[in-house]
Amino acid sequence: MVLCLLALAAPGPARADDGDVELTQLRLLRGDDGVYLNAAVQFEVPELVAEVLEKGIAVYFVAEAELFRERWYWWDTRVAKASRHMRLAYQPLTRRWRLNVSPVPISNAGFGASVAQNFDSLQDALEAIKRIGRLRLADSADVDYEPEHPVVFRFRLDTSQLPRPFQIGAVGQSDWNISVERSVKLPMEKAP
Amino acid sequence: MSDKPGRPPASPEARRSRARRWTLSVVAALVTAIGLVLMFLLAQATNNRALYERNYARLFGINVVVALMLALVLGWVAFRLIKRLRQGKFGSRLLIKLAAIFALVGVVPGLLIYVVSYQFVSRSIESWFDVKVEGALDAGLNLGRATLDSLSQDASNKARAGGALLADVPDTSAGLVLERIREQFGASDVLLWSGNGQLIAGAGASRFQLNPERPPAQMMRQARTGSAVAQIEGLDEPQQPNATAPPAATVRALALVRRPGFDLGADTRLLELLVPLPSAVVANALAVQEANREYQERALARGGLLRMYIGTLTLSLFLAVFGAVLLAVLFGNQLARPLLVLADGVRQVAAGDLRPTTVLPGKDELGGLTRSFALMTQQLADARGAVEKTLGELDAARGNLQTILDNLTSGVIVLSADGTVTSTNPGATRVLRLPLAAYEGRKLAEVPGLEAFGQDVLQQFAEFEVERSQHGLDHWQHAFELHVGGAPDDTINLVARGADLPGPSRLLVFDDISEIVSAQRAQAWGEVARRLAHEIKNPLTPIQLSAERLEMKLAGKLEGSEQAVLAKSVKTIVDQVDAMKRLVNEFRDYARLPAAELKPVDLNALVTDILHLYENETSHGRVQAELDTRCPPIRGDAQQLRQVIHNLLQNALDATDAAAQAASRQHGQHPGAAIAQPVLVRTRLGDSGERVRLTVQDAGTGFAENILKRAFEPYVTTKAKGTGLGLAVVKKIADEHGARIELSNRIQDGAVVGAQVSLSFALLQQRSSVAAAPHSSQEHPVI
Repeated sequence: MVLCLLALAAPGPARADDGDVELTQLRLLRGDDGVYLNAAVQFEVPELVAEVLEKGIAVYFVAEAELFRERWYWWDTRVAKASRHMRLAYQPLTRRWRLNVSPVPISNAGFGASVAQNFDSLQDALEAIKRIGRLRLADSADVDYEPEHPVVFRFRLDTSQLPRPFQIGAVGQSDWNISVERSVKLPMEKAP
Repeated sequence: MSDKPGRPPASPEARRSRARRWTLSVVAALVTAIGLVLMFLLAQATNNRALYERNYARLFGINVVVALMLALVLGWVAFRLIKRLRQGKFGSRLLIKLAAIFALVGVVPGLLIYVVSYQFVSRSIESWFDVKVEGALDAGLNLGRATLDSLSQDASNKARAGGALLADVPDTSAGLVLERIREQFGASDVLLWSGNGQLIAGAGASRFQLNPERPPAQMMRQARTGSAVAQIEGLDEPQQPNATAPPAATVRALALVRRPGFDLGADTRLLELLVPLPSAVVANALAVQEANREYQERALARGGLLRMYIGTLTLSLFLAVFGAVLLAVLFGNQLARPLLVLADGVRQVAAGDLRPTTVLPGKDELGGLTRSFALMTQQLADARGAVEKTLGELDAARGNLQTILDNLTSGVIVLSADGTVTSTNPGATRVLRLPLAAYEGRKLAEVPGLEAFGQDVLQQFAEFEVERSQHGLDHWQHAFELHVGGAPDDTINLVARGADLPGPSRLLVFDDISEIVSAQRAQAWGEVARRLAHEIKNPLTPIQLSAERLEMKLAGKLEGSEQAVLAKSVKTIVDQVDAMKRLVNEFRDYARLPAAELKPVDLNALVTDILHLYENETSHGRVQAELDTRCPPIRGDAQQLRQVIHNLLQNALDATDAAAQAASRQHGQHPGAAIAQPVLVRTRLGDSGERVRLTVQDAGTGFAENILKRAFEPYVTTKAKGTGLGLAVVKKIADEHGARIELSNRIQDGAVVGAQVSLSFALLQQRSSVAAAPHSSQEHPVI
């Protein structure tokens, strides 16, 4: 049922106003130890964002996935939710791109449990961002064996983590609008 | 406002309106206060980075909401004002004017400050970003980058040199060489890796680690191709804000260790060198990088920053302007209210409404003004009340005066200086027998019939003016004889008195003294009669006796015709003397009518008694009596009343007979056939029960107008042989009894059908005493 509502709220897959982000892959996998989501998005970084990145300012991306269980008598219930926060920053001193990935929001104070990766070029770093692999949703035991599971997937450039003046400037600017949201029923696949 | 009936101190409507106004004020004040606080926070936030970053958007939003609310309130107020203006409500113009003035006072400086601040902010933000600063930061960054590059290049050279040293050293003895290399190159750690990433040997701190960090795969791949690579590590993580020491950054250098002769990839070895970077260099480089980043961030965000500042400013302007306008409206309202109350009060007072006006409790001059105004209104009301009271009293006095004037038997005329009639009283009309009220506005001398009188009066006034200036008289008095009607006898005797009224008016008061004159005449007549009777009566007896003696002495001595002459002459003398005696007696009676002895008399019994003497007439139906049995005894002299009734009956019979004869002569009928109307004697108890009325009616020809007025005077008669004393006697007796006597013509259908005389007698004081002595009149002998 929630799918209908979500569909109403965000009609149709591959919407044009999704901020030019294309969702190229979305798979639900059940491994031995849990249920994972594999996704891949495709987007071009607008010139403005690229410029900001070149100046050494960090840009944040968020990938979120929600797994629902269908209930015919009531709203669908959410079984699991997972998110992956990514911070991409250029370091002028070393001329390298650094990507921090963390399941919790990354703050400026410290990167906590984030996993860092260095890239020599922006393209490499973006490739790493565009592939959201093995986003762990839940334990295997928590997910019923249904043929299909409703899944909501979101990917966006998190403008709320930008410095405030950018936010004020970014409001209403389509350059900063890199986002996609999709709610689909996915078949559960067996993890290789 | 003003058309409300009554003005209770707090009508429900007024209370509701006050409550609404109060609520509005509170809300406005609250919103303004919130706006100010938010404004302050916003201004603070612009300075405080942490706070503003966290809350700017929220603050901004709340401020926008507040501004919207203010705008709504303002719009509502403006709508109300305009509506009131449209309705032409009192005071809305003043209110709008005041509000506009205040708003102007509030808005113009705000706008000025806004414009200046706008310029200032946009300029100053632009001025932060300088090409020089940017270039310097860039140069610093490049410097740091070059330094680090040279350091890493140096490390990679060292690694290559180390690799050359190790070329011939077997794995087992590599440890010593590694140690030497470490010391020689100042590295913290020196590690030897096999081609597949297995640690062969190591020197330095990491040697003791169970599982030291393997160099990144990419580096290893690159190193295997033969070139030495170096990578700076430890600079990636942003510095902790509270960290004092710079991070321990190292250069990781990797070089292939070649074996001479063998060039097999299976047994490649890699030398890793970890060289710590000088902390000063690291710190400075990081600082430059951080500064650059921040600068770039701000430079990139300057549009947003500008927008933020301008937005804050604009919002402040809106808040300030809205607040100012709202406060202006409220204050204007507050300020205008006493004025409105005053103006409303003035309008009401002008309209004549002097009820107490509203007093505002304020202590300022305007409140005082309303108080003063209320006081003034009160005083006005008091004064008007006093005036009204006085006027009422005056009216009452005038009413009294008017009543007095109207009921005055005297005539009163107010004349202007030239003799024009200004006002008259009914008495004047009665006395002058002219509808004087109809002649008001005309000169008295122009009133028909009063020409001579008017002239005389004017002359009197003229003389009086002269007299007054000489002798200080305050009035003049003069008797006039006024001829009214056609008959020469028809005169009115007037005594008139004139005086000056305040102003140019003159007062003329006059009385009809005809009756007084008549009474004086009657009295004079009585005196004459008495004297004449005395003087005439004395010789009459000797004359009669002498005549009889003559007849007696000469009776036998004369012959035939002489005898007859004698007898006839004597008889004539005796008869005439008798007649004269009777005449003289009547005169004497009139003159010497004794004072009445008033005793209880039953009028009915008296009338009945007298009617016995007229049995002949009664039986012929010429006299009829209608006696009211309710009549109580009256006070009267039975003897005199007898004479009254006799006289009246005789007169009535005479008049009726005369009329009958005249009618029969006219129509040629027998006298006896003309008895249509009998003489009617009637007694009646008055309606008020206090007087008994005796009326005698005849069917004669009635009285001419001039006779009617003077009929009671002696020697006024309509009969050929009458002495004219009958009615005079009646009048005299009636006066003695204090009875009212009226003589009038009986008029039916406009024609005179006879006359009637009526007397009304006063009753005995107490009716019980009357009951005790009934029929007292019967004791008196019948005449």
